Amino acid sequence: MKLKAGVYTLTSCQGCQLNILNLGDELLDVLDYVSFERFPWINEKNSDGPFDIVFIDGSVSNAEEEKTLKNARTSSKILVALGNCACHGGVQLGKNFLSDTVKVENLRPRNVRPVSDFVKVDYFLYGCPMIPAEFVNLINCIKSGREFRQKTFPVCFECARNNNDCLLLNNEFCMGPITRGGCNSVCLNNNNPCDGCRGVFDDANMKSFLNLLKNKNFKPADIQSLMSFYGGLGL
Amino acid sequence: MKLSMEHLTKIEGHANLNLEINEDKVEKVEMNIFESSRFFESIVLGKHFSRVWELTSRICGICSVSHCLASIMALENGMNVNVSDQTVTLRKLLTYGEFIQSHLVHSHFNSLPAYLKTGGIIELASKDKTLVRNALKIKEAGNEIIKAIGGRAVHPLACTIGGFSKFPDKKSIENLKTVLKGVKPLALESLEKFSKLDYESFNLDKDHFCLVNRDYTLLSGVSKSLKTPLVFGNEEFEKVIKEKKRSYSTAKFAEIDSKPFMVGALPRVNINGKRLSESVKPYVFPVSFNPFLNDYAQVIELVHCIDESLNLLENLDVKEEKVRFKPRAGIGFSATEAPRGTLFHKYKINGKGIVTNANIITPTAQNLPVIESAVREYLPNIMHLKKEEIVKKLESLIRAFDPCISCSTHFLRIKGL
Repeated sequence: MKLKAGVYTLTSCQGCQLNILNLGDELLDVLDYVSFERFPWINEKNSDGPFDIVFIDGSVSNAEEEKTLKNARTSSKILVALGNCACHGGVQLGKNFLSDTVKVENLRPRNVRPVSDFVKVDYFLYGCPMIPAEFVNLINCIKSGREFRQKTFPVCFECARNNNDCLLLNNEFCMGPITRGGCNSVCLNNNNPCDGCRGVFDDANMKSFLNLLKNKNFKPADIQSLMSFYGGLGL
Repeated sequence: MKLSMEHLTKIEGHANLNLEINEDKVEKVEMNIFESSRFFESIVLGKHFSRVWELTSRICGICSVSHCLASIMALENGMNVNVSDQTVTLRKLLTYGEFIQSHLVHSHFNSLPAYLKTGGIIELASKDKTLVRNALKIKEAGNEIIKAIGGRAVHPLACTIGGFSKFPDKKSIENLKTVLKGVKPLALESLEKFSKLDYESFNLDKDHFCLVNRDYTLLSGVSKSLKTPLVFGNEEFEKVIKEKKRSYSTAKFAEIDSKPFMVGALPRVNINGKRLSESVKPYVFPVSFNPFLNDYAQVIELVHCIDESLNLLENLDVKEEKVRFKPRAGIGFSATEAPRGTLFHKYKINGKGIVTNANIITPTAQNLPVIESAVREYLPNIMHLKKEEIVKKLESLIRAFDPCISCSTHFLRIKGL
C-alpha cells in the first residue's frame, strides 16, 4: 500500500516544495511509495484527506492558515513541518517586530508563528530550504519502520571536517557552534557565515556562545539582529 | 451567473478567481490573491546592505536567483561598484540555470498534463515514465548550473556584491558541459512536442514589455515596449510603472499609462526573438498576442538557455577574484528578467550601509491586471460551454501567464519611514 500524502502551503516561498521536485530520479522512487493525493502546485485534483502523512510548507500568518493547518492535522496520522518557515517561522518572522516602528496602510502585520504553536508536529525537516536528502531519509524511515533521528551535533562539526577556516576565530560572526548540523556546512563552504536556519541543536551551550560573542566585542543590538534573521533561536 | 474558482491549481501559490456575469455580460473579474503579505520591503529596512539578498531571495524559492541578483545589482548600482566580465558571465549562467529549471516546472509540470489530458505530472508519470524522467533530467541540468556556481539549487550562497564568494573549479565546469550536452537532445525533443500542441487561439490586444540589450538578455538591460516607442531605464521604473492596491487582493496590481501590460517569455520572444540561439530559430513564431503561447515561448527559451550556457562554458576559465569596494550612501536600481518577466529592485543606503528605503516590483504584480483583462476578453468566446469546461479553460488561460503568488505577496507599501 502506498502512503497517502498531502502537501499544504501556508506562508512561504515554496522553495521547500521545489526541493521535493528537485529530487530528480529519486522523486520517481518516492512516487512508488508515496501517493500525493494533495499537491496543488502540480495536481489538478486535490483531496482533503484522510492522509497517512501531510507536509506543511510555511508558517501561520492569518486565521485562514490556522484553520487549514488544524484541518490538515485532524486529517492525517503523521504531520511533517517542512523547512524553517514551518519549523521556526521563517524570515517573515521579522514582520512581528514591525508594528511598533512603522505604520502600514490599512493593514496591521499579524504575528507570524511556526506550525508547532498550533498543532502537534511529528517530524521537523529543518533548514532554509529543507534538505532534499533528509526528506528522502524520512520517507525511507517511515517505509521501513526505522526511527528518524535528528542530528545531534552542531554545524561546526561538519565545517571542520570540510576544512573551512573558522570565522569566529577570525572575529567574524557565525552561528555554527549552536546550530543543528546536517547541512554539510553548505553556507561556510561558500564562504558565508552560518545564520542558524536549522535552529539550535539539542545540547547547544547558548550561554557560552553568547559570552564568546560578548568577549569578541559584538554589540548586543547586532547580535540580536543577526541571530533573529531566521526563526528558531528563542530571541 | 456568479462563478468562484477557489484555489486555482497548478500555479505557484494560492489564488481565487471571482466572476460575475449578467446575461452574457461580464460584470466583474477579480483575481483574488489571499496569501498573507510578507512585508519584505519593510523587514529589509534597518538591515545592513550585506544581509539584503539573503532575505530577498526568500521572496520566492522558484526564482531565488533572480531576486538575489536583482538585489545585488541594485546595491552595486547605488554604491557605484563595477564588476568583472567573469562576474557577468557567471551571473548569466546562474540566470540560465534558473530559467531552465523554472520553465521546465511550469511548462512540463503545470501546463503539459492538461494538453495530454491528464490531471498532473504524477498521473502522467504512471502513464509515461520516460517523458517524466526526461523532464526531470532537464530540470536537474538547470539545478546543476545553479549548484556549481551558486552553491546550491534553491537560495544560492556564493553571490555577493562585486562578484562571488566562491568559484567553481575546472571539474565542475567540465561536468556542467557534459550534463548540458546530455540533455540538449531531450530538450529539443520537448520543444518539438510543444510546437505541435493544440493551443487555443486568442488575441489579447495588450502591450508587451521586456528588457533589451545586445544579446537575448536575461540578466540586464533597459525596458522596451512592443507596441509603442516607449523605452525606460531601471532608474525610471517607479515613475513608469504604477502599482495599485485592490481591496480583494494582498498582491499589488501594476499598470503603465493606466493600462495593463504583459511581461514574461512571450513578450521576450516577441521583442527579442531575432537574438535567440540558432537551434531554436526554426521554432520562433511571428509576433503573437496569444497568451496561450507563453508555454511554448518558455520551452523555446529553455533550449536557448541550454545553448547559451554551453556557449559561455566553452570559453570559461574561472579565476578567483577578490571582491573590493568601498560601501557608500546612495540609491540604486536594477532590472533583471526573472522566468515570469521583468523584476525591478530599488534600495536606498545611508552612510552606515543601512537600508533606509526599498521597493520591489515583481513580474506577477505586473501581470495580474492583464490576467484579469484576459479573462474578461476570453469569456465571451467560451460562454456557451458547460460550467466545468469554462472553469478548465479559464484555469489554463491564467496558468499560461505562469503567475507566482509568493512573489506577488511580498509587498506592502509603508507610510511613515
